[in-house]
Amino acid sequence: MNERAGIDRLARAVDEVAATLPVRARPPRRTAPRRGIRYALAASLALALALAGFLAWRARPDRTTVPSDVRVVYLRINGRDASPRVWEPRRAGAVLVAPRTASGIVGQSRSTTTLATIAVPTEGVPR
Amino acid sequence: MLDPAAREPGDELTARAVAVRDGACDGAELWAEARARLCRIALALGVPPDDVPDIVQDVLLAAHRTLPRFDPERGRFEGWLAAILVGRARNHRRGVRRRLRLLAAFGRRSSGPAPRDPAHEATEARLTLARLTAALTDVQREVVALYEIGDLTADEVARSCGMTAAGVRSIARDARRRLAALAAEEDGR
Repeated sequence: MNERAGIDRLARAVDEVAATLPVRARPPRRTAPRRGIRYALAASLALALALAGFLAWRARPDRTTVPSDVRVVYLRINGRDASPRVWEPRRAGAVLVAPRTASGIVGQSRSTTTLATIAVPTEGVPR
Repeated sequence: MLDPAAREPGDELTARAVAVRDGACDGAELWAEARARLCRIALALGVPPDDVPDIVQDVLLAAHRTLPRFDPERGRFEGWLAAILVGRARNHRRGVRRRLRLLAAFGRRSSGPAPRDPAHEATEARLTLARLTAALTDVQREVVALYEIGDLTADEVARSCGMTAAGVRSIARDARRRLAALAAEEDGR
C-alpha cells in the first residue's frame, strides 16, 4: 500500500477546492478596531439610543384631537373628574386641545393638567 | 514522503515579511502569497470551504496588526502565520460544536450551513476533502495540514501545536496510514 496515496488525494482535493475560493480584492491594509475602540463605539451607540429615546419622550404629542362632530367636552385630570366646566369648540372641524387650553377650562395650573385626558360624554353634560 | 531536513527553509517569504515590517516595500504581494498558502492549510484543517476566506482574512488582519512584533530569529513567517491559523481554526471548531450543543439542547437538529447551490455544493473535491479530513482526529488534522499540506518543518509544527518534533512525525505517520487505508478502501469499492 502506498503510504502517501491518501495524502496525495487530500492535497489534490485541497488544491481543487482552494482554486474555487473567492479571492479577497483588498489586502489587509487596515487593522480591525481594537477592543477598547469597540467598547467605546458600543457605549456611544447606547448613549445615542438613550438620548434619542429621551427626546422622543419629551416630544410626545400632548395634544388631543377632538373629532369634529363633538360639541361638548369636559376633562378628567389624573383619572378624576375635573370641575364641571364645559367647553364648546368655536368652529367646526377637528379641534386640538392642549394642556394649556385644558388648564384654562378647568381653572387649574398647567402642571396639573399635563396628564389631562379628554373624555367625550354622550349626553347629560352639565352646562 | 519529503524529508523534513531536506525541505526548503522558505526564507523568501520571511525576508519579504521583514521588509514589509520595516517599511521597505508594500505588503500586497506578501499578503497575497500568504493568503494562498493559508487557504490550503485551512482547508486541510477541516475548516468548511465557505468559512475559509473569512478565517484566512482574520488571520491576515491579526498578522498585519502584530507584524511589528514578528521576529525572524524565532522562526519562519509561515510558521508564525500557521500558529495563528491553528488557533483560529480551533476557535472555529469550538464555536461549531457549541452551536450544535445548543441546538441539541433545544431539541432541534442543526440546520447546518445555509442552503447553497447544489451544483456548487456537490463538487467532488469538496466531498473528498470533507471525507478525508473527517477521518482524522483533531490533532492528526492539524499535523497533516501544517506538516504535509503546509510543508512546515516538524519543529515549526511542534511549536504551533505544542508538542515535540518526534510526536509530530509519529502523528503524521499514523495519519498517512489512516488516509492511505481510506483511499485504498474507496478505490476497492
